[in-house]
Amino acid sequence: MIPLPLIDGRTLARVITYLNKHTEDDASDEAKRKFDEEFLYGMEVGVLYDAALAANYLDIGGLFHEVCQRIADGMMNKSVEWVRKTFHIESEFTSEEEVQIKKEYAWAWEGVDSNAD
Amino acid sequence: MRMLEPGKPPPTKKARKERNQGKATASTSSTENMEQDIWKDFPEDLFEAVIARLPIATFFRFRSVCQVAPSNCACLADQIDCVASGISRGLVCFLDIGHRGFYVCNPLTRSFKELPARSVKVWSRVAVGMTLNGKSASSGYKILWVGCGGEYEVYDSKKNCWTRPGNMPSSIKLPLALNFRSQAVAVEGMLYFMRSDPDGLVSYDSTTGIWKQFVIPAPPHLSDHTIAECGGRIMLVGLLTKNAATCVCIWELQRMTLLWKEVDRMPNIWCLEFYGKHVRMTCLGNKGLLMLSLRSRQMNRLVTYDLSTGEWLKVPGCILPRGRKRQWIACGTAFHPCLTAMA
Repeated sequence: MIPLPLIDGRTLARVITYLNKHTEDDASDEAKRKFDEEFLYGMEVGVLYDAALAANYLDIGGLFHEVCQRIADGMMNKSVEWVRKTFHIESEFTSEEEVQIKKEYAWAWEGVDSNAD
Repeated sequence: MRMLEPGKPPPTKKARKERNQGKATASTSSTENMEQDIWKDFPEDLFEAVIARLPIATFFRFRSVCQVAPSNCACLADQIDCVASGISRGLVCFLDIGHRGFYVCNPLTRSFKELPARSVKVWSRVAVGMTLNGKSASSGYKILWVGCGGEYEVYDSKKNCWTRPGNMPSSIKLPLALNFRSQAVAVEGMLYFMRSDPDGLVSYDSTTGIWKQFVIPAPPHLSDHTIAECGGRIMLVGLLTKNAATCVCIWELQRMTLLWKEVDRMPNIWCLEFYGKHVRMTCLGNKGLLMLSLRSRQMNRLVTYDLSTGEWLKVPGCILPRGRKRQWIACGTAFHPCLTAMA
């Protein structure tokens, strides 16, 4: 028996389901992609969180990539303020520096409502 | 960035249960899913892995989230007198002629690395090529420099060291009259350099370490030429000047006969602009898409050519922010933007 102190049973069961599918001899790439879509579809945020940590700890590249991509997809339309608040990040930029950055990468704000969350 | 301290364990089972009780039930909207307090404990290195997968515009918006450790790149780039010498999947290799160093950088993320020092005798007379070890940037890369005397060294990013694998075979005519205005071309681990006397190419296989020479007669009346690559095909781009007429031509290497075959020319009407004028051309980028800077005394034109579709496009002149004059592009390189490529 191998103890895995950082992963709970439910997350481990999900990881094993993923690995079983991805190590099937006759599963095509298309079938695996479809499985990943269904596997991650509507995944609760707590589950995504645990899956990211588990995949990282167990060094399962494919799962880690899929889960991180899913988390990134959930963030892509968020504002800078939302990211700071959600991840509890303190900004050391002065307001002048922030204005400067916004100017330097103005193209990245095109079509984006800066107040949108 | 002030986040989870290193060494702090992830949440215990109990904490997770308490969290789950207040959690929203499964929702089909991923944006709603993100509104949870758990993310404050998300490890910093995993946060970086997530950020690297954002669309490019979002990635750059989030640069204003917080400061990151100042990279060497921002200040160093102002100080080095450099030449972009190699490109490979999101990474660019710079050769600093003045201070005699090699640098590898991802221009998108500004990850930057100075390679271990070399003792090269004449820094301005070396050609540099870069190739990936495998399919992706994480499999590492190799950088080769080669000089006219046939001396060369190879850097392997996985081992972070330079080696001198051997000597050039006698089948390669020395001195090696390398075309320094032409960039090297990498095709599946093979590096190709253009040479003259005799005209043609020399190739280096980065997996076997074997050098080969290909004698290929150059098209007549050719100038400002460089080799390029598209889908494994080796191409030649250059100016063809006959009498007073100048045209940009594209040739493809016929591997069976080792001859250049003309496959395309810049539209005639654009070439007429340069009639009777002395033209110089610089080619930026040599893989798939080329940008050509065409200059005569009073004129500076930028044109792109797509090697796979054969499409020629005029490009607006390059004007720096707060500038008014169009810039003359002396040298440059193209790169495939890749957020995850690490220098």
